[in-house]
Amino acid sequence: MHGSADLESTLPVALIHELQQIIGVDGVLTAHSDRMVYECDGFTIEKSCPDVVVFPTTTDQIAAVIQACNRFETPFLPRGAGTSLAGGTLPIGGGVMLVLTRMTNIEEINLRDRYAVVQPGVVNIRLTQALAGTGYHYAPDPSSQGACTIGGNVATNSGGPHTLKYGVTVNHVLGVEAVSSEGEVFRLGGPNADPAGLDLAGVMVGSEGTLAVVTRVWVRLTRNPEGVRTMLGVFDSVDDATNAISAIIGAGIIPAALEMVDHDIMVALEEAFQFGFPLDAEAILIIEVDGIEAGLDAQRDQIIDICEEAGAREVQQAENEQHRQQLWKARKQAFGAIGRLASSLVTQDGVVPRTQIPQMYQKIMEIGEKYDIRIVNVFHAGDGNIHPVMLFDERDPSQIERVLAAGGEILQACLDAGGSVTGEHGIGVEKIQFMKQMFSENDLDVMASLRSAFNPNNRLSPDKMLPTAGACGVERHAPSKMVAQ
Amino acid sequence: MQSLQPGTVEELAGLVEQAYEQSVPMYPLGGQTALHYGLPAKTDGWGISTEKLNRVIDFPVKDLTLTVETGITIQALADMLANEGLMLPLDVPQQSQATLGGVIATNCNGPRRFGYGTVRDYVIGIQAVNGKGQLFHGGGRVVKNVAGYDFCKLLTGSMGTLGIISQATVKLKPVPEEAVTVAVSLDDGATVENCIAMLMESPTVPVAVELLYGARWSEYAGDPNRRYTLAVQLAGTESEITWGQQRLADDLKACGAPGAFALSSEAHVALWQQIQEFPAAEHELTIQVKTVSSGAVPVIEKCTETDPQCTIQSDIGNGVVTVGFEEMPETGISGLVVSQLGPLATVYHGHVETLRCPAPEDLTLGTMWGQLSGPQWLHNRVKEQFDPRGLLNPGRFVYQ
Ligand SMILES: Cc1cc2nc3c(=O)[nH]c(=O)nc-3n(C[C@H](O)[C@H](O)[C@H](O)COP(=O)(O)OP(=O)(O)OC[C@H]3O[C@@H](n4cnc5c(N)ncnc54)[C@H](O)[C@@H]3O)c2cc1C
Ligand SMILES: Cc1cc2nc3c(=O)[nH]c(=O)nc-3n(C[C@H](O)[C@H](O)[C@H](O)COP(=O)(O)OP(=O)(O)OC[C@H]3O[C@@H](n4cnc5c(N)ncnc54)[C@H](O)[C@@H]3O)c2cc1C
Repeated sequence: MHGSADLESTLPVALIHELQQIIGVDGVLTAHSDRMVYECDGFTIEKSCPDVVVFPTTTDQIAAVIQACNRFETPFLPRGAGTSLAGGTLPIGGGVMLVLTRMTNIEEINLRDRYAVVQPGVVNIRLTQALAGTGYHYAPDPSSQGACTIGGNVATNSGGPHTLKYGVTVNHVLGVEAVSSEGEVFRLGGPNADPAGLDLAGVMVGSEGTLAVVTRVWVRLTRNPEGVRTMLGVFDSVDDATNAISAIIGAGIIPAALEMVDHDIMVALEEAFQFGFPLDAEAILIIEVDGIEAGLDAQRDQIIDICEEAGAREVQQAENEQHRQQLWKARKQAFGAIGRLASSLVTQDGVVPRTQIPQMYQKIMEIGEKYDIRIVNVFHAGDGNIHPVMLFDERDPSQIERVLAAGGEILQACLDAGGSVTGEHGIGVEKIQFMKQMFSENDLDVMASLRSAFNPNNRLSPDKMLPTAGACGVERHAPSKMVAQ
Repeated sequence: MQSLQPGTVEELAGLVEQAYEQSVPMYPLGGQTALHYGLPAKTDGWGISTEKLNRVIDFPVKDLTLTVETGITIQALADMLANEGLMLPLDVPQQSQATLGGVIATNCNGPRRFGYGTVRDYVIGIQAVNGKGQLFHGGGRVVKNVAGYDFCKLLTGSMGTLGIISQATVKLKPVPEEAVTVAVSLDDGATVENCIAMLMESPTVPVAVELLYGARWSEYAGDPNRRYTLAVQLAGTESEITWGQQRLADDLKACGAPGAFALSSEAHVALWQQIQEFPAAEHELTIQVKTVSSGAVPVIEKCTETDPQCTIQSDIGNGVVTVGFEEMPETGISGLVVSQLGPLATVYHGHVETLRCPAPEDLTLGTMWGQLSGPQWLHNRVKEQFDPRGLLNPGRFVYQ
């Protein structure tokens, strides 16, 4: 099952030759040392080496590769930048991996009708950069946006700080071109938001590469707001901060972003960026409102009042755009900075109803104490999306066991609160065992039937997301360094 | 046709299972305001009504979410939300009858989609019974969630052909402090296009941008001698609106449309009510063209050329053009839809649907739904998985 042991590719030579013919020799990796790089993604606990890695540059090449895989009855799967935190790109059972990072063209930008057409390997931030000066941007802004691809974002339905107000990836995808698991090119949706028929483009989003390989994406462009106010709320207790979060949402204010960072992460950030965070505070909130300039000061004042009422020590305001950018940079690098705190870390991605953040935070800390695991926190607080980060030393097997147990208990607590085990990172292989807790047998059966409509032979990314009979229940050992957020 | 009213989801699932075993066609019924939408039923079967499935399951007001059974009427839902200062900003005709299930099944959207989005942006959890009687759910009750396939998207707009939707969780929005309408009369398509292009980028961020044509709208027109009325809805705080109104009037003038004025609050309410009900109005023939925004003016001009007496209501920022004809155009439906408007819509990445016509039995897949987006085989396969015996709303939707 774990392909990492074999040194030579076990695929038939004829298939490899065919792949080389389709892609060209320089776009096919067969040597084990080259393929090793692709044995895991941002989720490093489980590893499996693909038998061959190909770098297609066109949709037709992808179709030809998939047809060949079908003829040789070989599994295959797509990969973008490999920043998945759920093991979405793990090639279970080996097979052919299609890495789409050479398909990086932004093919069209249409401002009048507010859409762009991109190839799947376009790195998220490139699109917003290409739009600089036009008054538009691409709204989904995962913290990994400097590396992850739009194809990967579509597959995982990525979120980011600003998806609180603007919506996650699925709210910004108008259509996709894809290659079916049997090698047929098709298109769902397009520039127009109301295509005739089922919303199958919507179904493709978040399907974690298990329905078809996305080869082109029509995305919505979002108008830049006229004005923005960014605030930093400083709190002497995490409870006060989490209460402020729930009071802001409860007051019917939907900020553009509402993020929480607790003391330990703040200290790590300060070491890395010297932003000037108050190191004696217990938590900070980064709160941003945007929209019509004429209304922003009033919104800002209302938020300041709420924070102060909840016990904020002070609420600072970003003085200028540079200051604001710095603040966001610090926030988005949170996980890089945490690397300073411990040799290894694992992040969970649970969600609770957003007004239950205070109770959830306490629960997390209790669980940390119970298992004697240090936990630091950075939350997409406005959506109720928590990211507790567990710090440990992977050389100590007992710590690893406790980390896994604590993680499981945190996610269970999210479910008990009526939430979800994943807000943005996906199920992949990591959380497959939780699917049975979130969904009934019927639910999973119907999901499997949807998959078989798209992927009848289950050759496309097998054993992901759904705990089907054949799924290899990979045992967990050795969580190594995992960045997240 | 026999109509059955299950009182619980379990009863609903039981009924469907029974129908499945006996291969009886099933017609999901909500408020029955849009049963003529889609190809008409050709086989007898059971009507399965959601009338008794109208309970509120969970309304955590401060989380801005609501979980309800789908037989609840849009009016009942709106009233309940308004009490808490919240709304589900979808514009639905005949609200006292239309149900949430029907709205989701038909993907019913109106003018405020420009600012607030569409049904698919609001449904975050869904429960349904598929054609085999399996009760299943997708999504959940939290606003951010990527576990499992997105059945919310799959079922939105599925026209009751993949499952009978029994329960849904929706995201809510706070009701804005105020809303106003700025209107202006316009004469030619080129000026309309200028204004729309400006509005797409306007910092005033309108919640709705409507273009209206025809005598029906004359009381809202500033100048009845001009062809078109452009109505822009702004919503927000008082200071935002005061600023926005002035800014809009200036920008419209700069686009060649002087004379913009704000409607009185009574006229504002009446106008949006009329716009909301328009797709349900009794015309001999009602069609809807859905293109990208820049396709709307060419489509509108084509329609007014075909029949100057027609009435048009267009969510023009979104490229949706709804046209009511008092008389069947000489070309007949297929001439109009397939030969004239279809190719034009295609140029603008869109298609044409027929909302109402005198002889629905003559409609074909092409004249009813326009050009299918996505492969036929994939639609058929999905349908086979969810409803292997083809019992849910047989013949109504795009499968063949
Ligand atoms: C530091 C860090 C921060 C992060 N922050 C966030 C965050 O804020 N929000 C968030 O949502 N996620 C975040 N992530 C997770 C990750 O970046 C996202 O899931 C991202 O969308 C993955 O994109 P990728 O190109 O790396 O895809 P990959 O990791 O290569 O693939 C992810 C999944 O998508 C599938 N896939 C990839 N391309 C295609 C395609 N073209 N067609 C079909 N399927 C495809 C793969 O098979 C796999 O299942 C973070 C990760 C890291 C390491
Ligand atoms: C193109 C279009 C045309 C319209 N034309 C009109 C019109 O002429 N008059 C008018 O008043 N409104 C019209 N509407 C709007 C209509 O009021 C809404 O779509 C409405 O919400 C339908 O709700 P209902 O409860 O009345 O549904 P119904 O009319 O009862 O059902 C509409 C369709 O949805 C299915 N359905 C209903 N409930 C469920 C459920 N719980 N699960 C699965 N399927 C279900 C039905 O089988 C049927 O196919 C139109 C909407 C659209 C999109």
